[in-house]
Amino acid sequence: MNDQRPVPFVFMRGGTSRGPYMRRADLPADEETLSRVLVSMIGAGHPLNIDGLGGGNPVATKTAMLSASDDDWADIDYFFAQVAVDKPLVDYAPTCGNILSGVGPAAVELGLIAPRDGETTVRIRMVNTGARAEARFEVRGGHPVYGGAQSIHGVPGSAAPVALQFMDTIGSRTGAMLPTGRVRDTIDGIEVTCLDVAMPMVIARAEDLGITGYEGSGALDADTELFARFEPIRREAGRRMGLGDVSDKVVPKFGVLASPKGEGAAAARYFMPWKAHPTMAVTGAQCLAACLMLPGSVGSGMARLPSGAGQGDAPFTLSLEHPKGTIDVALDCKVTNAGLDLRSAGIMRTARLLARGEAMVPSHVWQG
Amino acid sequence: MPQIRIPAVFMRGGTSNALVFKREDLPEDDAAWPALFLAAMGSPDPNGRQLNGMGGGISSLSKICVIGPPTRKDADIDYSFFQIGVTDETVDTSGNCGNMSSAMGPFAIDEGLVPAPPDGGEAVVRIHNTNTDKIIVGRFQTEGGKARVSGDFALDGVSGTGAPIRLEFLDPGGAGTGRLLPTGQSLDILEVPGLGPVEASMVDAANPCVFVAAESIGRTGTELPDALEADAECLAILEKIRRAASLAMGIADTEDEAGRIPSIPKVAMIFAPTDCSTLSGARQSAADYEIGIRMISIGRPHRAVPLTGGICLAVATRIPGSLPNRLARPSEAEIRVGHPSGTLSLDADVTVSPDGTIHAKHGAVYRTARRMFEGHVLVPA
Repeated sequence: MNDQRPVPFVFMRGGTSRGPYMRRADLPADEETLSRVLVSMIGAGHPLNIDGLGGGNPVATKTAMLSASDDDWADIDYFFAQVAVDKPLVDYAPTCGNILSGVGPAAVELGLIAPRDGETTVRIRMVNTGARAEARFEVRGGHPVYGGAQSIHGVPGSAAPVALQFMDTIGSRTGAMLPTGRVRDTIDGIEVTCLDVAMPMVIARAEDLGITGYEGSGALDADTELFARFEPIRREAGRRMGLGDVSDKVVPKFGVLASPKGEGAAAARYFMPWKAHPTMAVTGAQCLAACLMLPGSVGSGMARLPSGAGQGDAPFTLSLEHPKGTIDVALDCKVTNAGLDLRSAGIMRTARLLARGEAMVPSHVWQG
Repeated sequence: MPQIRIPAVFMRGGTSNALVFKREDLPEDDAAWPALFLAAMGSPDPNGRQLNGMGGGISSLSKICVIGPPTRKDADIDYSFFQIGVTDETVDTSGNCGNMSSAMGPFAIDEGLVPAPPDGGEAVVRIHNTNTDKIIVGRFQTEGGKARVSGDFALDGVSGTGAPIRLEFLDPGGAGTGRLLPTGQSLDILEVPGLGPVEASMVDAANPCVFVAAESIGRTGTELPDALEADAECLAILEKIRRAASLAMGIADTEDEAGRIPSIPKVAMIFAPTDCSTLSGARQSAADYEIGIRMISIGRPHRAVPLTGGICLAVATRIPGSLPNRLARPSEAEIRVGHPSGTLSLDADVTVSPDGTIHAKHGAVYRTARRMFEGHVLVPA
C-alpha cells in the first residue's frame, strides 16, 4: 500500500552508543541490499543524518542485528554494523562493546529470548569477530529493568546495570595469562607484571615510575620523561611476552596502578601506549583489575577489595578510578595457593530502551 | 519502576527532524510536558550528544511537535512546536520551525486526523501553528489514503529526492512592522550616509527585509560567503543600507538604535540569473533559478537563505514595480531563488486591488518529509 517498508526494531542506548536493534531475519539476507537498507535507515551520507535515525556522530550510527544462535554455547548471535555518518558506507569488520551492552535486553524485547523474571543471563556470540560474552541483567514483568543506580562515564544519570563477562580473555593474544611465565619481571630496575587478560599489558606501580597515578591524561601526555622511561621497558616486556619487536606496535599496552584516592578499589592509568587514555579502555580495565587480584603481582595488596572478593563464590565488582571517573570491572575468580584462577572478566555497563516500533525504509531502497 | 510508553512518530520535515506526538497521547496537564520531552530527547546531556534519548546533539535534531484538534475554526489541526535544549533544560516555544511544519500535513493524513482525499490526489491541510498563531496550508499528493513519500523533488540539504510538499504561509505581510510595504512604496531611493542615493525595495513578509541590486553597490551578486566575509567594504555598505532602511521602515528611530537591532530588517543584495557556482563548486546555470540572493544575517553572509528571507523575496518579486520584480525572470509557477548553497523553490500569491492596495495572500515554500519510524518512545517513570 505504502511506498515505505516497515522493519520492526527497538531503539536502544547501549553503554555510550545508540542505535536500532533488529532481528536479522527481518532484514535482507544479502549484504549488498542490507547495506543499502541500513544506510537509508540511519540516513548515512549526510553530516547530520537528517533523513534517518542516526545522530550525526559515529556513536549514534550503529546497528545491531540479532538472531537465535546455532552455536552450542551461545543463545544469541549478535551481528554488528558500523554505519558511517557522512558517507553511504557500512563496515561489518569490527564489533562494538558498547552496543553489546544492549544486546541481552534487546533480545528479550525482540522476543528472541523467553523472558523469565529475575536475573537473566544471555550468552552472546559476536558474529563479526567470533568473540563471546555473557550479559547479566534483571527482568521483571517480562521486560528488562532499565532504571537503576549504576552510572557510567559519558551518560548522564544512572540506570540498571548490565554485567558483561567476556569469555576467552585469558591469554587473548599470547595464549597465556602470564606470557613471561612470571608474576613479576624486573626491567631497567622497575618491577612490572606482564599480564594478558583481554589485552596484553605491562603494568607498573605509579610510585616506581615517580608519578602519583592520580594525574589527568593531559598532565601524563606532557610528561615526556615518563614516556622515555617506560617505552624501553615496554619493548623489552614485549620481547619477553613473545610479541617480538614491538617498537612500532601498539601492543602490549602500558598501565600503572596506585592505591585508591577516592572510593574505588585502586587508581589506574592506561597508555595506548604513546598517549594516555582520557578515561579507561574496556579491555585494559579487565587486565588491570585482574592484576590487582593476582598474588605476587605489582598490584597485589594495593587494592581496597570488597569482602568475599577472590573467594570464588560469586562474581564481584572492582571499581577502578580513571582520570574522569570510575569504571566497574566484574571478575569471576578465585585466589588459590597456586595463583589466580580467573574464569572470566567483565565490565558493568547500562542500556536503555529509548523507543520501539517500526523503522521505515523507502521501498525502492529495498528493491534496488 | 517500568518506563512510560508514549505513542510517537519520528519524522524528517525539510532539513530538520523531530519526534511527533498526538495531543491525546500526552498528559492532560501540559505542565508535565517539559520534563517528559527532555527525557525523551536525552536532555540535558553535559556531553552534548543526547545518546540517552532521541536527540542528535544539535538544535536541528532536538525538536518536538505536538498535533491536536484545531482550536480555530479556520484550521484542521493545531500544531505546537518545542525546541529542546541539548546541554540545558530549555523547552522553547517562542518560535515555529518552518521545516517541521512541512511534516504536519502528512502526519495528520497518515494518522487519520484529517480525512484523506477519497480518490488519492492532492491533500490540503490547514495547520494552525500555536507558537505564532498563524495558519499554514500544506498541500501534497496522497496514495492509498497516505501521504506520498517518494518523488523526484530534490531539496538542498537532504540526500536523494522525495514527494514535494507545498507550504503556504498565509497573510505573511507585516510580520515585523504591521505593513507589507512599510514605506508605502514598492521602490524607494534610500539616502545612505557616505554613499548617496541607492535604489531599494523594503518589504515586510514573514520578516522585514531590504533588497538592493548587487550592481548598484559595485558587486555582481554571485560572490560566495567567504569572498563577502573578506570584503569589509561591501559588508559596511550593506550595514549602512540596513540601518537607513531600519529608519525608513519605522523599526528604529535613530541610526544607533538601528545598529542595536541587528536581526531586522535583513539586508540582501539580489541579482538577475547569471551562470555561477555554488559553495560545493557545482555549476549553477542562469536557467536554474529566477532570481539570485546574497543575504546578510546579523552581520554575517548567510550560506544559503533563511526560509523567512526567501518567502519575503518571493512575495517581493510579485509586487509590481519592486526591485526584485524588475530583476527576476518572470515566472507564473514557482520562483526558484539562487543562493550560495543551491536553490530554494518558493511561490507567492500577491493581489493588487483596483485602488492599488497590495495584499500578500501567501508565501509558499516547497519541502519534502519522511516518516522515519512509528511506534512508542519510552521515558523513565
